[in-house]
Order: sequence, then C-alpha cells, then structure tokens
Amino acid sequence: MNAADAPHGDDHIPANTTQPFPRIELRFGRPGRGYDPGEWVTVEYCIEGLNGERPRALERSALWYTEGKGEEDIGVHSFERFATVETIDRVVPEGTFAIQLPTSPLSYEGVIVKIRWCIRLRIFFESGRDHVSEHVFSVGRVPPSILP
Amino acid sequence: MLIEHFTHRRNPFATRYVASARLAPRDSRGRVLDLPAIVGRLGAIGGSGAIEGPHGTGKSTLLFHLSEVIAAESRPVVRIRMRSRGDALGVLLAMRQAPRGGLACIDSWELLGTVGRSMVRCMARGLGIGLMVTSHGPTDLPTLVSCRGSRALLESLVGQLPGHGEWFGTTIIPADLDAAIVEAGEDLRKAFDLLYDRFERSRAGSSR
Amino acid sequence: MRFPRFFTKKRGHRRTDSHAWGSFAEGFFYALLVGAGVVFGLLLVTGAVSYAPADPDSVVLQRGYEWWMWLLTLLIPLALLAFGGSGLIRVVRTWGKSQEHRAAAWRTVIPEGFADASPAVAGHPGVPSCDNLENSPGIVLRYRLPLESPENWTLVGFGLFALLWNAVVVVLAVGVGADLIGGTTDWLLIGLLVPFVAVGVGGVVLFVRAVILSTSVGPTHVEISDHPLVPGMSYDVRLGQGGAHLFRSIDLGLELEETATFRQGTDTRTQRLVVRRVPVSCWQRVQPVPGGSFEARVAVTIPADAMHSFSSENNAVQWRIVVRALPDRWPEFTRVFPVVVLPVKAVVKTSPSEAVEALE
Repeated sequence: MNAADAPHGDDHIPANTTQPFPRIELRFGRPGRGYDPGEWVTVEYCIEGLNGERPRALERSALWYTEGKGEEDIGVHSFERFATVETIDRVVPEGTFAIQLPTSPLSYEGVIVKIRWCIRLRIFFESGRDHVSEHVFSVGRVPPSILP
Repeated sequence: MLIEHFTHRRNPFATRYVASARLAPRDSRGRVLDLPAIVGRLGAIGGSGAIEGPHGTGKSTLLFHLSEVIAAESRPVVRIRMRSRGDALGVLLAMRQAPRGGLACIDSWELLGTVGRSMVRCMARGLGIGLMVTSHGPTDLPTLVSCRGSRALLESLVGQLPGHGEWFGTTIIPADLDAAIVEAGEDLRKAFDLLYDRFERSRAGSSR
Repeated sequence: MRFPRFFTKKRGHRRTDSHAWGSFAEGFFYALLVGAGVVFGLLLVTGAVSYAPADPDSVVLQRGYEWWMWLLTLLIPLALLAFGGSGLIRVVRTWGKSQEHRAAAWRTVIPEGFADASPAVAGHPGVPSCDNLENSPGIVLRYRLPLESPENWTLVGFGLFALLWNAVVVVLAVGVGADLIGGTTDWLLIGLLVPFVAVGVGGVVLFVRAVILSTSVGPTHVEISDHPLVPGMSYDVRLGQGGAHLFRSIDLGLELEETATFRQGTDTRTQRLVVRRVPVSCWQRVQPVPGGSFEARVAVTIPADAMHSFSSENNAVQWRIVVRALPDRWPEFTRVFPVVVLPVKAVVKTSPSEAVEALE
C-alpha cells in the first residue's frame, strides 16, 4: 500500500525501507478538523506497532507548510522534544497535548501555492531510524481558489 | 478511538510529492533500481563515479537514495548540492569534514568548472575519500549510472504518487502522460510540472 | 548536411534547426561586434594622433583632447569589444555541447531551510511587512501607494543608450567634418559613420517615443485611506491618471496573485498566476484635464473571504490594485500597486482546559 494513502495521516516511509514501521492514530478535538486562528487545537494520539522497540526520543510539532509548484517552505509554530527516559514514558505510546494557533497564516487552497497546517509526530529509535507521521488540519475559512 | 477521515485538495504532482526523497529511483523501463548492486559497482570502478543524464531524469533522486544506502552501511557520507560556481570553496571545505574512507556526494558536478573539478579530485585522492556526482553528460569520472527519461519511467513514477488509485484514470488519464512526455521530452521534472497544471484544470472541470 | 531554414515557426524554447548552424551564426554575429569594436577603436585612436610637422618620425597626440573625451570616445568600442568578445568565448566554449550541459551555468544560491526569510507584520507570521507601502503620505488620502512597474527603467535605459551612442556619433561626425574642411576625405570613417548615425537616430526615435508615451499617458497615482487592509472592510481609493490625450477606457480592480519559485535541475524558475480578479470601477472615454489629470474616488471592498497576503522564501500570495488603461492611438498599459491584506481577526473561543475536556 502506498503509505501516503494511510487514512489516519501521512506516514513518511523511506522508499527503500524493509523494516516494519509503527502506526500513529491521532484524534483531533474537533471532528471536522477545522479551526479558527487563535483557537486551541487539542490532539490525542496512540502509537501502535512498536513491537517492543524502544523509542529514544519523540518530537511533537505544529507547523504550516506550502505545497504546490514552488519549493516547500515550512514554519514551525510549536515544537516539543522528549528525549529522556522519564519524559518519553509520559508521552509514548499515547499522549494528549494542546497548542494555541497564531493569527496567520491561514490554510489556503490556491492553484500553484497551497498552505497547509499539520501536527507532526516524529519517533526516533535506538537503532537510529526514525518515523514521521503527519496529520493535516485547517485554519480559517478561506475558500479555495480556482483556475481563472 | 474515533477514526476520522480528513480530505484536502492535494495535487499529487506538487513539489513535495515528486521531490527526490519521496520517489524510489527506477530505470528507463520503470523498474526499481538495485541500489546495493549500484553501490557495489561504485566500489568496482574505483570508488568514484558519476550519475549522468539530461535534465529531470532522476539523477538527484538516485544520488540521494544511493547515499542513504551507503550511510546505512555506516560509511561516512557528505552530501553537497551546488547552486552556482561560487559554491566551489564550500565544496572543498565540506570535503575536509569527511574522514578517510568516506564518500562525498556532489550534485551538479559541472558547476565546479575545470579547475574546481581538478581540485576536488586531488583533494579526494589526498583525503582518501570517494566521489559520487551527478552531471548532464560524460565527465572525467567513470560513469556509474546513465539516467534517461521515458514514458514507462514517467508512468511508474506517477504510480508512486499519493492517492494514485483515486485520481488516475479520472482526473489524470494515460493520454495526459502521453501529452506530457511529448512536450517535456526526457525531462520528467517538466512532465510533472505539466501534469500538475493538468490536474488543477481537470479538478476545475476544464475540458481536455 | 542540412542547410538552415530561414523561415520557420519557432516552437517554444527549443531550436527547430541545426545546433551547428545556429552556433555558427551566433559566433559570426559576435565576431562582427568584435571586429566593429576593433575598427572603430582604431579609427578613433588614429584620428587623434598625427605626425609632428617638424619631426615626421614621431607622432603626437592632437591637442584639445581632454581625458574625458578619451573616456567617452573609447566607451563604445570598448563596449563592443567586451560584448562581442564574451559572446564569442561563450559560443566557442559551448560549441557541440547539449542544451543541458549549457544550462549548468551561474545561478543564484538558493538557501535551504525554514521559511520566513522576509520581514513580517508584527503579530502575523507569514504576512509581509507593510513598511515600504506606508512611507509615502497621500495628498488627499492617508497613503500614496508605490508603483510596481518596469516602465521607468525602460525610459532611463533608452535615454542612456541614446545619449552615449550619439555622443560618440557627434565626435565621429566632428572628425569627418574637420577632415572635409581640411580638404581630406576619409572614406573609411565616412563609411563607418553611416551605420552609426542610423543606430543613433534609431536610439533617439525610441527614446522620444518612450518619452511621448510616458508624457502622453502620464503618471498614475493611487492613494488609499488606510493600510494594511482587512477582509470585509471598505476603503477609499483615489486614482489620479495624468496625460494629455484621450483614454478609451480606464479600469481599476483588485487582483490576487500567487507566486511560486521552483528549481528545475540547476535552473530556478518563478511562476506567477492571477487567481482572483475583483473589478472595482471602469471609466470610458476619459479626457484628463489639460495640465492636470483625471481623478476619481471610489470605494474598494476587500472580499470578506479573501485570503490574507502571504510571503515565504519560495512562495507568495499577494493582493494588488491594478490600473489598466487604453489610451487613444497608444497601446494598453497596466500599472500595479501592491497592498497587504491582513488575516481576519483571531477569535479565542476556548481555553486549553475546555478543549481537553471536549476530548474526553
């Protein structure tokens, strides 16, 4: 299966990997995943498929990125890293956190430029590999632009 | 736990999906390349080699994935991507960081110029590190892989893009790939660019 | 060997014929420039020296040539030599090489990394700064918007070229005239003067045409009652259009333009696309007041669902006020005035504790 088709987010799996990867299910506090600027976004997540492999670090971030014909730009709004045994046990395999959105940028569905917001979880393992899971949500109510 | 399905108007031909790191490198027939075998060939031709091919044929993609395979074998790898001739000094400085036995991966070998290339080769010999580079044609290094664009390769790469099963055959049809190849030639990056526009127009309901 | 076709339809950027013939013709053109520079320079220099009457074995510089005259008169031949020489070197170096190999040339270094390289409005990440748009007060309304247009540079370019070229032509002509008065006829110099005069006249014509166009259509001023702009709000906009002649139509509107910069191999390309147009007002058969300008004041409403202005390292979403005018008997022109639109006001609806309770 194409990893990008995963219904619970986009898992970034290296094209030539053969190792099993964990799956991350993430639930937003709002079913429609639509928020206004300044609102609090709360998420609850569960990491499955660790298969006894101990993570050495977890990063949780909220960021926006551009998508389209241009090179990708990103802006990290919120970032947390948990790298000690005590802190990792609190956030793996499940956890809850909340972030307050800024006033901008708003999510935008343009033609050659799109702006997306997402929650990104990145797990680092003792073996040196890492796994990223990305979950898109929307900020604002800007209607999509269409080709003129 | 409640399972939610969130959809957004993703264009599978956007830069982030066709970027080097996302697509598995393939040959001109669309078959997945045997990366470990290519790494083995690099050693057989002396430890340095060039990935050559025209614009948009997957050289940077292949360089990236080969460097990942080599790095996974615990061999030190230094990745350098050149943008202009002014980066030549930066290349030399970066190479100095590579320990003996390491590998310097340089994207856009021609930008170094004749003098720059000679200096880099001399430094690589002196430091005992290998070179793996991309170029648009034959170079002073042995050719490791020749990349060529083709309709078959385009189709196999398109097959790797997210949501392929949802939009291929409806929003994008095989005739669109044919038209993209005719206009772009071997430049698959340009073909992706054209298919991006085609996808947006199809989604907007424009007729072919 | 296939001979070149001189009349054929050009298909996009690609050459439709033999690369060898094309490169040969290109090289021949640059060689001509180098030759012209050498001949011109030699003529100028030889015309400035003469044998000393008392000592025919020695040459002296003619009196009356100041250092700035030398600089001016040698400017054109040096430019011809530089331009022709560099082009010739490039042709020789790229002879026989593929388009891709030639495309691996000097390019601007594009830094990689996180976005937000440009200054942003405080409190609004990703929204470009308004500083350059608010530093000019208007005459009637609060701000006068800056013009984003290359027209002024075209006028300056034409003017400089015409001035420099004709300065050299004048020097040449004076030299020829002096020879004729002295009873000598330098046919080589006269032969060289003819094409130079032709180019000089052409340069003057182009410059005068650009000046007439600029003065006939006149400057365009746009003032606005407030800035930055907010979706859903209305603003007074004052348009001033100068010119001496009739305008068949003048259109004022708002546009939203997306800009994406991407790399194709070693090339960096930028694509722009207007995705939204909001017509504001249109005037037909406009005759500016003699010695003054056409003025109009309208209300511009930013759509309530408008996307705010956005700018990052490689991507941008920008609003502009656009004036399109069609003068009578002149080509249509477009003048663009960038504006910044802020995002809608943020509304804090919940506290984090309330939001966490909603999850449980």
